[in-house]
This record gives sequence, C-alpha cells and structure tokens, in this order.
Amino acid sequence: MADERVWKGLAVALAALAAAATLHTALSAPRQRELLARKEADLAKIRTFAGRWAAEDALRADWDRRQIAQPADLAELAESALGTGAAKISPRSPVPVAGGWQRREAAVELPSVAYAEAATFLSAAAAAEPPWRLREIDVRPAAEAGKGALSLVLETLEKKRP
Amino acid sequence: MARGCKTAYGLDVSAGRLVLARCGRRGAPQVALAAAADSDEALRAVQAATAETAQGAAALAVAAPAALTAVRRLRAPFASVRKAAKIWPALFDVELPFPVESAACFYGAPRVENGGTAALAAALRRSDLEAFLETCRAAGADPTHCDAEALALWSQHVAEAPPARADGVRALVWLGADHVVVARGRGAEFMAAHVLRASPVADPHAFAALWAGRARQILAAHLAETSATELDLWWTGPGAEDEPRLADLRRALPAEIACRHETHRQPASFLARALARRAADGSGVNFRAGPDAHPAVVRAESRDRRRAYLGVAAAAALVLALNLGEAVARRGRLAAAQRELAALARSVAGEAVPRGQETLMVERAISRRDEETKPFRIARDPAGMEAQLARVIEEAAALGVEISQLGLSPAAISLRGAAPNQAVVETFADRLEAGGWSVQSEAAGTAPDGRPQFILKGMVRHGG
Repeated sequence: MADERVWKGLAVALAALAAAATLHTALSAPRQRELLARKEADLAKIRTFAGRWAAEDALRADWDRRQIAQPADLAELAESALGTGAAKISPRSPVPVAGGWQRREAAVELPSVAYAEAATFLSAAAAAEPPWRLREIDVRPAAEAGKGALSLVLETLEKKRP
Repeated sequence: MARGCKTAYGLDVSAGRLVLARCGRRGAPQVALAAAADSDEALRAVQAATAETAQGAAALAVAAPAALTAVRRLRAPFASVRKAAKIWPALFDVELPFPVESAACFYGAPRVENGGTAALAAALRRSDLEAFLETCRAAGADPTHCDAEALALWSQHVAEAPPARADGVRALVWLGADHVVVARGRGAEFMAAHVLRASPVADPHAFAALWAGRARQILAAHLAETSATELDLWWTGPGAEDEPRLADLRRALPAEIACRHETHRQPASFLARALARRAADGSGVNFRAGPDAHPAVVRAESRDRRRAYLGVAAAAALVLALNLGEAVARRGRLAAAQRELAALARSVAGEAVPRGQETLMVERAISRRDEETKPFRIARDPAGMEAQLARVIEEAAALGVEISQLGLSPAAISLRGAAPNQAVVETFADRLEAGGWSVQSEAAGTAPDGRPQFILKGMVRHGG
C-alpha cells in the first residue's frame, strides 16, 4: 500500500509538473514569438544598412590598391590652367574621415579670371585622383564681359600620413 | 463492472456434478471438465484452477444461487446518469427485503430512456455471500468472482442466441439440478428472473405440479408486460439434456400461451460457460468486491493501479521532455537570431554592440559613418556642384538673364542680376525650383537700361 502511495505520489507530481510545464510553454509562446519577430525585424532593418557604403568603400579600396594617397597639387593645376599668380590658394586644416583618410579643403581666390579659364581649372581639378571637388563658389562679374572675381572652396581627400 | 482477465474459469457444481469451463479474453468459452464432483480429476482440476487464481494468472467464477440474489430494474425519474447514480442505493433499498448496507450490490450500466434513467441492480446479502464462499472453500475452490446466476444465464443466452428482433419477446428456462431459473426479457434486454426451488432432475413429479402453475403465471405476466401474443422459450441447463423430459415440460405449459421452443446447445455446461466468459471479458457481476475481494484480485488490481500510475508518470515525463525540448529549441532559435544580429550590427557599427542596443548603435554608427564617407560620396559623384553651377549658368544664358553676382554652396544659392522682363525672372526662379532649390525672389529695382533687376535666394530642398 505504501509502495502504491509512492507510485501515486510520483505520478501525480510528474503529471502536475508536466501540466505546469505545458502551461508555461503555452503561455510563454506569444512572448517568445514576439521576441523572435523583433530580432528578425532588427536583422532585416540592419541588413538594409549593410552595404550602404559599398560604393564609397570600393572607391577607397581602389585608391588604396593603386596607391593613390595624395591629391594633385592645386597650385600646379591653377598655374597650368590660369597662369602664374592668378590664384591665391589657402589650404585649410584636414578633417579625419573613414578608413585612415582625411578631408582637406582649400579656399581659392581668383580676383580676375576669365570664366572659361576658371571652368578649365575646375574641370582639371575634378578630373584628378583624388579629385578636387567644388564645394562653394561666389562669382562677382567684372566690368569686362566673360570675366569676374571668383571665390572658390574646393575639397579633396588624402591618405593620412603615418 | 470488474476488469477482464486473460484466462477465466467458470465453475458450476450441483447435484454431485462438476462442470469447469475455460475462456480466454477473446475466445469462446470451452468446457475444460465435466465430471463427478468428488472424482479425483475434478478435485485436481479445481485445485489447478484455484492455484492459477492464487498466482493471479486466472479468474475463477462461480454463480451465487439465484434464490439468494435479488435482481431489480431501477428507474430514476430524471435523465441524468450522474444524479441517478447517487440515488440507486436508496431506490434499491426500497426494493430489497434486507437493508442495502448489509448487501454486496452491483449496479449495471445506466441507460437514459423516456426522460428517466434505468439500470439493472443485483444484491447478495453479505452473510449469504460469506456462507456461500465458505461452501466453495470447503469444496476446494476459492473463487475470485461471484456472479449473479440469473444475469449470467441471460447474458449467455443473448451471446449464444442473439435476438433477431430488438423487441422479440423471449424467456430462458434453466433446468438446474436442484432449482430452476426462468429469466425473461425483450430482445437482448433482461427484464426479470424467477426461481423455482424444485427441479425436474431431482424430483420430476413435485416439479411438474409446481411448473404447471408457475409457468402460466410467469409467462402470462411476461406477455402482458410486453404486450406480446407469443414468445420464444429457450431451454437450457443440466435438465435440458433429457429430451423426453423437455417434451413433458413443454406439454405441461398452458395451451393459451403461444411459444416457439428452442434448446441451447451444450445445455449442461451453459452456466459454467457463462461464468467463464463474463469473468474473462469483465462483463459480469462480481459480488466479491471491495472488502470481500479475493486477495489475488486485490493484488492484481494493485498491480494494475501501479501500472496505471507508471503509465501516467511515463506520459508526464514524456510531456516534460517535450516541453524541455521546445524550450531548448526556442532558446536556440533566439540565440541564433541574436548571434546573427550581433554579428551584423558589429559589421555595420565596426565595434562590439551591447545586447539589445543593436538597432540604436547601428543607427548612431550609420549617421557617423555617413559623415565619414560623405567626402568619398562627393568624390565619386559624376555631377557634383560643378554640374549644378553649369546648369544655373546655362539656364540664365538661355533666358537672357544677366548674372551680376552668384553664390553657390551645397545648401544655398544666391543670385543677383537683371532679366529682360519680370516674367523671365519668374521662369528662371521656376527652373531653379525644378533643380531642387526652394527659391524666394525679390525685385531690386531696374537697371539703367530699364530691365528689371532681381535677387534670388534659394535653400536646398530636403529630398530634392
């Protein structure tokens, strides 16, 4: 009889545990599903960010591969396009950017320049590697047609020197 | 209803004859022995059956004499089996010639009919049961089952001769060695049983006198009760083996009662076979239950309960294991998603990201990296501000607008100049708007040559 009570007790205890576990499993299922769904939503969101800078990273990698680290000399470009002393160039402090590179700006004052020559200069600067790209321009025409005073801000990238 | 047994023996001893039938749970009952009760082989067979029952390997069923057993149909006036079960003892007590508490009682499966609940009930006084069991033990048999004779006979009758019609009126006459049982019913349904305390086997003349009167009374009542005009009368029992005797009994029946007579095969072992079958399939009555139960039955029931508990425990353990498996699987799915999220967040943010802050850290990293990669985006932009400048100058030239001052930055544009007329100024402003600027224009008087002068100021439009 005592033996039977032990079996009965064991069966009842296990059945109660099983019922409790099943209840817990059933009740916690929505929360688990919600957690998993949230993680999957986060994953999907972050996946859309992954590869966001692929083109920029590829450009940098290409320059690194081809050992392009410093921009063309802006003074030389100006001299070549505009003649000696036509441009007053004031480099600004570099700012660190991604991948060990830094952004450098330069203010260029062209007190009296033909617009066509200025365009040639800007084109040559933009065609260099890394390019000098126009960020700001202020044009004040002179009395003579096709000429004026230009204030430019150009921007380029350069590999940080160790 | 008692549980069934793998093997069951039915024992019928009367007038010095012993019939032992054997039945498996699924097979038909077979006569194991029919011999003189005091013969050696009969004693050996009973001892062997008793030994098997003591080991719990078989059941041994005997029939409590019908004369000692009360069988009634109870009817509760409501159609609820659960409620009816509560009042069966009270209803039965009214029907019994002795207090229901002093009897071993059996209540059959209830049936809801005509707005009420009906059940068959059988009772045997405990003192009679003890005395009867003592008699059995004295004869060398210690039965595990003590069935109700009339019910056993009727159920065997139905088993061996299933009714062709559910409402067919029938009666069974069991001619025992020292008494006769007349069980009657409709279709398979048992209605009542009557005991005649005499037998054509023991004293044919005394029985003949009793039979003529009682048979008329019983069968006429049966026809009246069932509103039938004829009935099937089946004969069985040790006394039914003698065909001339049966013919005499049939002839003694009143002529006004229309009967079709049939005789069961192997009539002498009918009761023993009934007892064996009912004990084997668990369909029988067992007055030897509760405190009167046979020790082997108590042990077997205890073993069955232990098995049931074990089964419950095993099933519960399985359910627990399934739950555990589900929990582990869930945790695994969550951990895998978390690992993937952490790895992806790290690849975007460029550093380890605290758990739960992946999206926040990634968004911060994105805004930082956006700023860091912006110069590269500008560097690879095939158009850039140079193209914007060229476009503004081309638009101005096309409209005949003279620009006297131009300022252009990524966020703003400012223009001062003169146009052929005010409409051209507005067109120029519209074209700048189309180029992604949010433009405000203002008049600045007229040039010496009379052309209207203007100032246009624009801010870059978000998304423009």
